[in-house]
Amino acid sequence: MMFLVRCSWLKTFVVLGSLFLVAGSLNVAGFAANEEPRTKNQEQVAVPFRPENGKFPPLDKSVAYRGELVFVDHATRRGSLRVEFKSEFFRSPPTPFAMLPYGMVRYHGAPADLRDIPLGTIMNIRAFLPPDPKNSSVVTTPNHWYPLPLENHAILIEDEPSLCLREGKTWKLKEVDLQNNQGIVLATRDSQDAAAAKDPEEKLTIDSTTRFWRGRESLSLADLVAEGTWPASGKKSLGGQSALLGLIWKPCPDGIFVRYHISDVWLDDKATQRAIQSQTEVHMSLIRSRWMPAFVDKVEYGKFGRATVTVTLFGGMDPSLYADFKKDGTGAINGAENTLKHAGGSYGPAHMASKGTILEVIKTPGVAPMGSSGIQVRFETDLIIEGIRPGRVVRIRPSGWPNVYIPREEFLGEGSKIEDRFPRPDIFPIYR
Amino acid sequence: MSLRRHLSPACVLITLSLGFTTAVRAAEPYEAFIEKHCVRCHGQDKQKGDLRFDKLSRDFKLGADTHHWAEAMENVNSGEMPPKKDKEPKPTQAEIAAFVASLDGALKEGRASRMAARPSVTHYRLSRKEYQNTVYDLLGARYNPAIPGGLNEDSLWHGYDRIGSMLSLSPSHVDRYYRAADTVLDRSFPTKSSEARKVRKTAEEMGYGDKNSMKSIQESLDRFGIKRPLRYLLYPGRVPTALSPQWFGKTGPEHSGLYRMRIQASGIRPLGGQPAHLSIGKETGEETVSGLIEFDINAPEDSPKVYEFEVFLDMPSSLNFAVVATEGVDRRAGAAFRNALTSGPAYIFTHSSETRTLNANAPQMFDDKGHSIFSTVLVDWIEWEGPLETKAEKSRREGLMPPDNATPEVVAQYLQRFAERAWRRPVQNHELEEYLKTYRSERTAGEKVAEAYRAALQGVLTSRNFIYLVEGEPKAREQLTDYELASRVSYFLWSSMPDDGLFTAAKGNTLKGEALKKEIDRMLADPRTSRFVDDFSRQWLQLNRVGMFPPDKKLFPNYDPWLETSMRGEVVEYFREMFGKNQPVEGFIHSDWTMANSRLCDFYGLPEPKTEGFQRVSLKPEDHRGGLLTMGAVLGLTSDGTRHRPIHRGVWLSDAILGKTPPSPPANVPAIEPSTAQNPKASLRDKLAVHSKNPNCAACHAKIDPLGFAWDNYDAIGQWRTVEKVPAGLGADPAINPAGTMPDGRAFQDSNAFKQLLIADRDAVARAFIEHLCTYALRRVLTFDDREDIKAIAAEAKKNDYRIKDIVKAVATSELLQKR
Repeated sequence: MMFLVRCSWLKTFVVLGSLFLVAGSLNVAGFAANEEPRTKNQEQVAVPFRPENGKFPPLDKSVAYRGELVFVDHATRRGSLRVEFKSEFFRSPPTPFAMLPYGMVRYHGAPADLRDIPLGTIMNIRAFLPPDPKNSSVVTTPNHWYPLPLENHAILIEDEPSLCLREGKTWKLKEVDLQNNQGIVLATRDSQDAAAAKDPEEKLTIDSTTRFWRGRESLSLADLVAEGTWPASGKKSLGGQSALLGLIWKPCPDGIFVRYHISDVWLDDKATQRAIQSQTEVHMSLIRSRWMPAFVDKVEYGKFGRATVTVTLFGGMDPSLYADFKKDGTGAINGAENTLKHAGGSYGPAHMASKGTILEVIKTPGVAPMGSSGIQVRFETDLIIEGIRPGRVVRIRPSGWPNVYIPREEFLGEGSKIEDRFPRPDIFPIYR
Repeated sequence: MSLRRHLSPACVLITLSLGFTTAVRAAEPYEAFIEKHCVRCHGQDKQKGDLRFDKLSRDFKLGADTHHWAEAMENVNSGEMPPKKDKEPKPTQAEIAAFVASLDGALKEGRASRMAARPSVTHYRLSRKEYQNTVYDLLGARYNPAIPGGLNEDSLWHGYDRIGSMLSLSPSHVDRYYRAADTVLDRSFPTKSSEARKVRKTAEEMGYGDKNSMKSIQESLDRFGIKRPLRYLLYPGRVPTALSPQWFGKTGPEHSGLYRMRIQASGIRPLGGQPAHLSIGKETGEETVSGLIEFDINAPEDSPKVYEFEVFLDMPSSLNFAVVATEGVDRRAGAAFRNALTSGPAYIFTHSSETRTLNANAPQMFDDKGHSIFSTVLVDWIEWEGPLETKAEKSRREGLMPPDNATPEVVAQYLQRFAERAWRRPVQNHELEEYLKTYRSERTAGEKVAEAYRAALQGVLTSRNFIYLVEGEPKAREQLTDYELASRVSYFLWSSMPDDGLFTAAKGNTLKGEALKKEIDRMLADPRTSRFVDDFSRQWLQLNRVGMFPPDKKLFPNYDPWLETSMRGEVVEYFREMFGKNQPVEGFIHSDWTMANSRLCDFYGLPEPKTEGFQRVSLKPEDHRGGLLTMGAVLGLTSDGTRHRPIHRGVWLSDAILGKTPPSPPANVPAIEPSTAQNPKASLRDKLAVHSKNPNCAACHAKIDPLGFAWDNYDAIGQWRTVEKVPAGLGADPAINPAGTMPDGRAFQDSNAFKQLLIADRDAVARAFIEHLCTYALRRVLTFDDREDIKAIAAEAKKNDYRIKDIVKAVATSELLQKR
């Protein structure tokens, strides 16, 4: 592997990466498009797979596709992607998606929140059909002639560097052709796995907005030209130089339907690690203030509200966050919804959370499924709240994390309407 | 904690009956003691402290120097006198015991005589309860004198609230009697219509707010496909509205009266826990109501039941629900958790299996199998209807109001008929003249007949002849008249005025001999004897003390208001069963059954009864219950809320069961210190043993303590135990030692053996019971003069094997009750 893998969870991903028979391709995967036979003639197809509450679904049941991130409602963990087609990309209507509660967002090779990702970023998604199609918070655009995916509940959404890091891939820069401080880069995405299918060569645009990261340096195209690394004008072979590329999309001249733009180039391992580190810190800070999401596995009832609760912490976080859960430590569990919104938080999420002691931290053997950390916490409380029932999503914190108030859009509060708990798809426009 | 509370009986157990006292004799032991140990400093030669015993009055009935004598007894009892530096020989333990016993006896006799003193005309004020019953039986009017602003609380003497000498009348009383009479007459002869109205509130209306809320709620229900109707979830910790006067529309005092409440409800109990208990009454705190209606709810969630009760309401009146349980949701986080359970858009309850519509931050009320975590009540609807009036109640007022065209003479006749019933005796014309004068002046002022007559009725109801039971006349006589006797037996057995039958018998002067016995038989068969059962059992056994010191919640988490109410109920229902079945008196001491509801069965560890309410349940030896003495109420009424008090138990037993009241303890007895962490754990009995070594105390404790130690197997709330939990100290908690020796030398090993010794003394137990009945019936403290009459009643009762109802009958027909 070219870049050092910092996160332990990534090892899991590398293993799982072998299952990504489709995701590794730059081509849009075979998602279940919005085609009539799919719903009208179900006897011809197998019963579609849908994730179940309280269970981490097998990744091989998911489909992969990618597109441009065009809209984000971070509080409900939803957004829209302009899904990639071979045809006119600009005409592709934004397609809504929702994160499954355990669904992971990754950016710059590190865990992230949707709010961290700039609109326009090309994101790779692994998604399932809605777990509850009648009450889905996003729907696919009906009767649209584009074959938009019905698999819109994501277990993973990641940017290009994250995908490469996770799958052990790297871009090989072959040639650059510059005119007037902008141009085209020819590159291929190579896999360390010699047996893996070769991706075709790509033409990617580059201009003065592109950032180059080298060691601790942040450079512009002009800087590279000035130092003679890249030509001021014309073509130059880059000799297959390894790099990680950040991809975005913007309108492209000359009637090109699908061509991505390079937003960032990480030229070496040190630069990559700095990017990972920076995003990791952002995410750790977020989780410490918003608490670790988890599934409730089991509740063992005592008398008059006493209970021992077993939860599985969701995956994809920095290991230091998991390490904060220690046996005999104290903490709190608050109810949450599938959006990961706290149930209550008017006086801070701790105000009406179940408080208690961590009895045990258990590392389950084997490889944890995607979405799971493989870490269970047994927690004893003297007053179990309604949100803590098997299959439900909670947020848990060890008492060492800062006890802070959270913004109004991130908790439900008493008197919330049902649409606050279960967002409706109304915010997504339907394009005809 | 002061030692007084532990050692209320002081150092000498005196064999004085509850009321009897013995005459002071010249050679009383206290005289010999004074001569030997006191007069050298407080006599003819020296008068230290200006006290000279030979000059103190020995007329204890007069009570002139009572305070000097009491102080002397206190000083000797506490060891202050004779002075320690005195070189003369100190009094022996026996001498001290004899001194205190005889002097205490003399003082008590004096007090009893003063309390029982009867001038030629005696007045015994009706207790609040008797006033309530009397106006109901007289006018069919329901009036609750215990409401704020009602009649003053009655003073108690050894639990009795009807002792004449204790019931005085102050100006504030008079004012309240006027207001009470006004209220009674308003309800009897209402000027505004008060037709019965009915209102029904559904769970949705009570708990889920307006249309906007319901729209939001319906959306939630639809989201989860829930078809079941909404239910109103009640839980321990909050007291939501059960009745609002606004529900009826405009509601005023004229709507006061009897109301019928119907409620469809079900309950969910914690696994292995108590049935849900619902209390409905006026709010007394954030979690509590004064229980007007109390019932267990055994109907399961899927089979709710309609419960129906009738209750008197002073309108406008607001009532609240309270689920009474040992454990509720506590006030943590500023009561936010319990508030989160409040119904509304955030907490939508339909069924224990449908939890997704419940507030995620609210405490869980049901586990994953539908068992309740806390005791809960599910209300579907509630209905109130009233004021209701029965034909019998209306009939009591028929013919009381003169017609609109009545002449003054006719009005006078009406008033006389009413006054004779109200005053419970024939009334002379001149006695009513003042009231008729009032009537005439009202008429002159332009009032209608009914209004003017009402003023006269108020005069009758505020007369001393109504408020008091008046016995005697200026010329002293020993026997009661038949009318006086009719009232006495009526207030004895019915806690109310005589009925027409008794009046007729009194008028015919036939309340004697066999006719009296027949009349008493008739009375005993009347449902109104239920009042006797309620009132006498409560007063005799001093149930007013139950919960006087609320048990510490940390030490006794399973104690709650419903348990306390149930404990009181057990005693009363047990007495009712004994009385109704005419059981022998030893049933008070031991039995293989008791009367219990499900809450008590849970507390005692008995099988849960299949039906609601109190019922007769069997007891096995291993249950460690049976008879009055092992009931939770009796064992708990002497505790201080944290631990049992064997001495208080002994004093109570001596007083209530043996009819002997030990003297009060001296004032300066040091408190019993709790065990410290450095010392071995010691039982309370061990600590008392140290205290009792003091010769000044030993004589008393030897007689009182065994009566209390026998029940050491029962803790402060009456739970069975074999070790005494001592919070601090070294070693194991000490084992209970319930063994002891009776004052007469008979040994016992435990409470069962003690009970057998009491049963062996059934004559004494029966005699004490008779004395209590007589105190209750005569409304005065007994004296030495009553001794022969009591003996005669006891002899009569013994012929019938000391059966309870027969004993009551023997008292009611006794010579003693016919005497002033």
